[in-house]
Amino acid sequence: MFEKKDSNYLEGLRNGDRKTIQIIYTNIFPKVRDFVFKNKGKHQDAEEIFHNALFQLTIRLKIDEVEIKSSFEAYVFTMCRNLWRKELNYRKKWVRKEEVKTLTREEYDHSEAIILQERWELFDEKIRLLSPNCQALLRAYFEKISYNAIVKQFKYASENVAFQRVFKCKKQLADLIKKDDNYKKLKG
Amino acid sequence: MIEGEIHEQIERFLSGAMSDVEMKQFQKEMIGNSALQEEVALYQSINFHLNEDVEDDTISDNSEYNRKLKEYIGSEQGEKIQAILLEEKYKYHNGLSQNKSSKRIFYYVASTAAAVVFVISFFFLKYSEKDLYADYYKIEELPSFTSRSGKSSLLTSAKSNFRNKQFDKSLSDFNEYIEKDAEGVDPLIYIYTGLIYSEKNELEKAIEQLTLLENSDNIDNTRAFWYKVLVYLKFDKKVEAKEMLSFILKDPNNYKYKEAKEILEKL
Repeated sequence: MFEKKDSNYLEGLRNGDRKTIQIIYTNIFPKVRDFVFKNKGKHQDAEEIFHNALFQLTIRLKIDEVEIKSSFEAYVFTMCRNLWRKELNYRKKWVRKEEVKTLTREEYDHSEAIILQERWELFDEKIRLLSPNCQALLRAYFEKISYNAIVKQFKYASENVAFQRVFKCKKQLADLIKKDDNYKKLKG
Repeated sequence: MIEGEIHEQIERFLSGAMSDVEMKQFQKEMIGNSALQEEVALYQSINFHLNEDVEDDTISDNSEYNRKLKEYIGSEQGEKIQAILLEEKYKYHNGLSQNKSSKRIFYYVASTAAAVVFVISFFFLKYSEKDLYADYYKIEELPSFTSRSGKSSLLTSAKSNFRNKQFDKSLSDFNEYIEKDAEGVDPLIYIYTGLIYSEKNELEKAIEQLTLLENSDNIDNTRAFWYKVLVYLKFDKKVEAKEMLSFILKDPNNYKYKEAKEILEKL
């Protein structure tokens, strides 16, 4: 839940208040570091991710209002988790291409990361508007649970019915997203 | 195609379930059909959101919002935000701020105590040169440059590498910049090259670079004194730092006059 201290954090970031930034580091960074450690990362990776998240959030605060429904800590943690996921995908891609390449800050696109995060927030909000069944079905589908298992878990008559249900839920989600004013801002 | 079919096609396209022929046909259909392109992009984006292995590469550099963000990030304000956050990141990393604040709190408590305790505390808690360096070195105060044509990108890269602590890369960018047009060099870059050598623990070279600024005709050449102060503080060279401070204090119009007075008192 969003509390007074959370709005202090936001205000401090917006104003570049160094004391607030240090408090944010002290209170939140250790959790992000633990998460990155557990997910193939090092201390330096955690620092980079955390710094980027704070920078991107500050840019958003300067340009527009940012609505946070959870606590500030949970919000920053989610941002970091998403950034780390993007970074891991990026690294995987380079490993696949068998090229050794260091991700330099020049190549790092903050604006792209901001848009991805905002899309994530929009999609997350809309998923919560779907029926509990649709939400569970989509999550199962994207966790790559087989249609055979989905049929059993959701008690559908056949794999074709399961496919149709997944398809309908996804379309409902797409329709909800398209109706939101923010979609225009964030699309392509 | 009716709506349901289109979405099924999109699903098959994105999941790689189409045959080569189908794929080519679908791609052909997408060309010139912006509504279809948009729909594919949205579904791809949803896949990214729900599936950790999928990459969302549907963000266009040309969207109005993306341009607005890029413009702000590249602006002076954007750079300042970046600089402040980087500085605080390093501070946290080095544990400097915690150490410093606890010393200060102790100082205030001690100042209200008995005179003897105060005197002892004063000697005990005196600022070290390194503390002063950490207090007064502000990365966001480093100069920005305007340069002609192709050289500006070298300076941007040099600055960016500097801020990211890629000092060797930054130095190589600055050297390339100097080589390109030795006569047109902005002497303020020697602040950066001086600080780079300082970071590389090469005191003499650091001072040498800052002397190049000091001896230049640049209107801001007295900044060299200030940065020499900082470098000397970093290397615990109190006597040399005091000498530079005395140069700054000769003229109240000199760069960082007020701060020079403060440091001298603390030293």
